[in-house]
Amino acid sequence: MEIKVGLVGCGGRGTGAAENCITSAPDVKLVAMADMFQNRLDQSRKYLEGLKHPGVRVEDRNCFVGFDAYRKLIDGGVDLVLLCTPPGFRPQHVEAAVDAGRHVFMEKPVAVDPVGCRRVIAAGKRAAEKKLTVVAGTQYRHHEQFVETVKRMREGAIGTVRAGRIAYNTSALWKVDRKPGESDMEWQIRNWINIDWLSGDHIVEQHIHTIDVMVWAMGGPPVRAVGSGGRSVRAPDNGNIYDHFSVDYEWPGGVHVLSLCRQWNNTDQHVGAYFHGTKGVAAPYSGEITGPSAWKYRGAATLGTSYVQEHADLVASIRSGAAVNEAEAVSVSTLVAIMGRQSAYTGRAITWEEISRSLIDYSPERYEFGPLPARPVPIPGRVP
Amino acid sequence: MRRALLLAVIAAGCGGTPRPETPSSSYSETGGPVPFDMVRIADFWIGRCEVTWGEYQPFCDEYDKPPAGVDASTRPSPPGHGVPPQGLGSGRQPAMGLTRNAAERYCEWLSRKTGRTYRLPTADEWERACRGGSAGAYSFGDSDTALDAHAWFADNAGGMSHEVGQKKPNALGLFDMHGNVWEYTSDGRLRGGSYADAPEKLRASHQQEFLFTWIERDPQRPRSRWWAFDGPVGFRLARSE
Repeated sequence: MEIKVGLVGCGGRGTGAAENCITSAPDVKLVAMADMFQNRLDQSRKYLEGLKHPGVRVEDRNCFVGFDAYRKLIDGGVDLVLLCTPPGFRPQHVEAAVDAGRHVFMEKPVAVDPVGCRRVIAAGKRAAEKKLTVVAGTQYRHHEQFVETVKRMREGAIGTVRAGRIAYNTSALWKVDRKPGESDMEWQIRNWINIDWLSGDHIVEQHIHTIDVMVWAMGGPPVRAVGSGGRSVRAPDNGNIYDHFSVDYEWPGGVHVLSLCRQWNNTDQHVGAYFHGTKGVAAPYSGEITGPSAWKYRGAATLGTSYVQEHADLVASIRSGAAVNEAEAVSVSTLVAIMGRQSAYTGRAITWEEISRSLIDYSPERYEFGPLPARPVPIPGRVP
Repeated sequence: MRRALLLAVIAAGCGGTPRPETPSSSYSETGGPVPFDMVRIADFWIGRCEVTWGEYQPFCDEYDKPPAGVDASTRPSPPGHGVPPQGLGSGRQPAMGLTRNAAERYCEWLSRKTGRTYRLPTADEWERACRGGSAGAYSFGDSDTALDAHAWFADNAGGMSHEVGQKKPNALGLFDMHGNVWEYTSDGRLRGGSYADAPEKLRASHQQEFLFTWIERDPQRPRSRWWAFDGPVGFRLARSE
């Protein structure tokens, strides 16, 4: 059975996801592309057509640009959509895809605010009713090393978990300077990673990977988060997000996981997750368990292969009718990241109950090119 | 003696004495580069140490402050995804996770800054510099047992790069020619082995191609022209005059 694929969001990651998808299994064909901007779509299409792969068969009439490009693509003849735009657009795209009966691959994170997370969870439930597959770009859940480490941990290899620590300490990512005459909306979308309503801040946009491993390994979301954060080195003219967060996530029974993330150039870097139990330590990022049940992952899966594996699992799910559905899991992890962010922004302890009911909604009033003043950088104690 | 044939002329000011405690180069307080510690071998000069993060970072920082008239493609774009779990190091650790393009563009940048033409060593230059007159597998002979004193490799490095200039130098006063990070030569091949490699990869004559697994994890397409995050790959400067 041939699977016709449409790509929504033709940036570097979307283009990568399209390549991963068409190379993950036979008879998977990219037939349509959508982006906000013509130049981004053209660059992506040129790269993908340059692969000379039989899975790329995009015609001009199936290429769409603008705010409604996603809808035109979804309403066309595709079976599977790859939703790879900035996450601020994800909820509306997931809803449209599911309502039109399309299978979904969606990049992480899946929202930037609690309202968006709940929209994705609801769309995921509708997808389940329709037996549609929904896979998320939290690729570690498709990586044998992580799967095996977490499985052993959940089966008791480290005894009872007492504490943990996770980190995404890295350097700054890219930025896009504003061009003369560019509207607020256009510049913000082109510079999306540094804008709150588009990326959700870096704790949500990037650290989501590590937070997802934490939520997965701990078996569910924490009950409470107490966080700090700020903006030490990010250039004043570059968006309105922080550049560091530290969050103490708490589970019932007084179990805490310390979460650090920062985007600072020329400083010590580290990405990892460690869970300390009564009998040992589990470290999914190195595929290791210490203690009496010591174990080390010796398989061949690399971090790189998991980007293709998640699409292989997706395609297999569609073809078998098994309807894998990761919408809720990735939405919960996204919301845990948002919970930490809000605690840092406000300076208050945020409970899972509070964030689950929160009405925070970053969506702009209108999706059109024009003025869109950015919210000021949050100051703890002054943000409700 | 073969070593004598190499005419190992040590640069004035470098004195021929290993100086592991001082940087192989540094940046002045005004941010401008001062000349690297280069060793002259016959008709070329080569860096005493691998280029460090402290030396490479100012090049990256120009992304935020591009000099007038310089095209965006001449300076590294920040990575579009995260560093490997163990990080890439900082300070006096060798710059690594670099593509050949990144190493070559750095040489061009440094040349503009200093008015001297820096480049990657040729394969022949690299091997002559590495051997320092030795005809054996390594600069110190054929036996792996002395490797620990001269090189960071799989058995002693603990899975990470180390500050340059800590192990014994070769007869020319060059550090870390064996191990620590792979080093690009101008033909695009890599020499010297790394902290992650077994002894045979560290041999003076061993050559390696760039590995796909070093860039496989890059989720973006096209992949970065600058970063090969999973590669323990750096470089050493060379100069003809």
